[in-house]
Amino acid sequence: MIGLVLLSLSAVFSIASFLLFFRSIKNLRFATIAEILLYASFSFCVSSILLLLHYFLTDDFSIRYVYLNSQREMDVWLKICALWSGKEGSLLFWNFANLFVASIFVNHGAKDVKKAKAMAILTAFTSAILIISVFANPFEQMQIKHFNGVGMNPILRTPEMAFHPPIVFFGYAVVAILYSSHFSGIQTRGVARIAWVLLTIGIVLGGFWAYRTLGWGGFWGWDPVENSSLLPWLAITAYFHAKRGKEFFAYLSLIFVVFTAFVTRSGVLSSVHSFGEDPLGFTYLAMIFALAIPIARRWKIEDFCYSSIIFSAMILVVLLGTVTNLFRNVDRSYYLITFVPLFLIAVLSILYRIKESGRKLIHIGVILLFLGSTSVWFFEQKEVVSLNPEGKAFDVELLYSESKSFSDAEKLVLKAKILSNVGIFEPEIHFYDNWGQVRKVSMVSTPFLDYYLALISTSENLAIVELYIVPMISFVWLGSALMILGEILRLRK
Amino acid sequence: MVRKVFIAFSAFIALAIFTLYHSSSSSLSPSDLIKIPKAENVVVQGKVENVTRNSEYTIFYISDGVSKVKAIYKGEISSTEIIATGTWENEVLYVKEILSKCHTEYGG
Repeated sequence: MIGLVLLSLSAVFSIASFLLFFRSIKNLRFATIAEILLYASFSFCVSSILLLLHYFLTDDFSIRYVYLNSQREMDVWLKICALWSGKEGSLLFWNFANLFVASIFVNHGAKDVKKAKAMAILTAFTSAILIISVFANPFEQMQIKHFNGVGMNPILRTPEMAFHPPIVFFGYAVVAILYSSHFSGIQTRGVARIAWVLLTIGIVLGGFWAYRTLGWGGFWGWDPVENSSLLPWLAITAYFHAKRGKEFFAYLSLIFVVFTAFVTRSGVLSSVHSFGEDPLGFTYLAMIFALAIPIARRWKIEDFCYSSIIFSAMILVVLLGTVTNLFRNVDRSYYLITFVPLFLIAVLSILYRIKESGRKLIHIGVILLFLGSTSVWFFEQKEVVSLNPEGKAFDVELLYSESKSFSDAEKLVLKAKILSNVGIFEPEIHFYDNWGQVRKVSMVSTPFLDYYLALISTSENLAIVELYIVPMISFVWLGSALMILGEILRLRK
Repeated sequence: MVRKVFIAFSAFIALAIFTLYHSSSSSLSPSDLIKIPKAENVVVQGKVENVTRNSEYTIFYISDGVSKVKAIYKGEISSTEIIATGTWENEVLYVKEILSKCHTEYGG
């Protein structure tokens, strides 16, 4: 109850802040009060998030959200991560990121009419997300207080869970700044760069996570949620490359952020992420229409033709595929036929102009990313093999050496040791009481190939394993790292 | 120039839509699937039940709570909820590809 009150107060103060920022466009005297109200909203949001964290750390399973996402046996760091592992909590965290970034932005640069206008747009946006969060209510009480919770899905119990979601939400929050700044005519290149860096780190971490998780379709499975997270990134990338009509892509990036929220939270799409149906999900559609108003009012077809055509085509290809997923399942061959040629054209154009490019590091990163990702998409191989105790998959000779089991508070672990001519594999199967089995793959990496092995089952002298040979995946990570590093170095200029 | 760019762009998008039409298929539940005698590249969603393995294949059932279909896959199933793509023939789904549903509402 207290949590919902705190969250509601945050929403109320945010709405009040919006009204006064809106008023201060004509009379700047109101801007100071609006700013104080924004800080108050942020303080209440922080209080509510701390309260929810307290419920997690004290195992208060009378709160439905805590019951569904935590368990007594989980480590403290996992209980902290559980804060954003479910729909309501991640929405609360998004609010936190929005208000935190807005509070910094309001203090950065001149506090003039342009800033008041930008803040009015920004606080309107944060208020809308806060209102949805109040209705989603992460503090809902259960009638029965359970002794233990259901727990976080074991697949999510990885270090990536600590970093990927928060970075993505901070990226989304900065995209909102980009939108509102452009709308009010404030210089935004630095903001766009920060948003791009955060989104890139978020996407790459997500890809790394998916790669290490068996059954998530590799580093990029063209899953609708992955695709929708790519859209704001593509829009900001197009923003950097556009000669005219930059604002179109700035507006589009936030529209795509809200579209991602719609895809993730409305339950309309099939994905490796599985969603509960949520009537509030359709509120995001209304937000998309509201955010699209500036595009409808200001945008001209000529701007589009002088803008970044390749990135526009990429955006449309990914958007078409993702929207089609609302009705039908889209095979990844669609993306390989349409997106990869566009990617190739972009890379060829980089190669043509690499000497005069002011962003050499980033563009070298893009070339490596292209080589790595297309190699994986087209040439990855998989084979299931029985080791009795020896076996061979492709040119890899495998010898099942031993297996041992041990347990911790959360799970029973079965760990096998498999020797090979490329290295030693130590795949695991984790057994959870209420979640079944989760397989942890073991990898042997070389500069050009990854050997990726999952244990299917074992008995005394027999092990059945699944071996993947993934070519040039290291180029994906190296290319991505160069892109991020290159843009961070430019941020300092 | 503007017109040429616009025409080229429109042509590409038309091509993309054509490709999309031929690369997409309807997603079915086991209850829907058992009504069809045969289907290729069909996508089935549901919960995994009764998993058994031999040295080469994983044999299991995909259930939607009402009906279930037998499935055969050369590989590992790492989730209790899946999206499987394959060929439906003689009341067996020969699975080519499986995506695990991670059973979370996490929206990052």
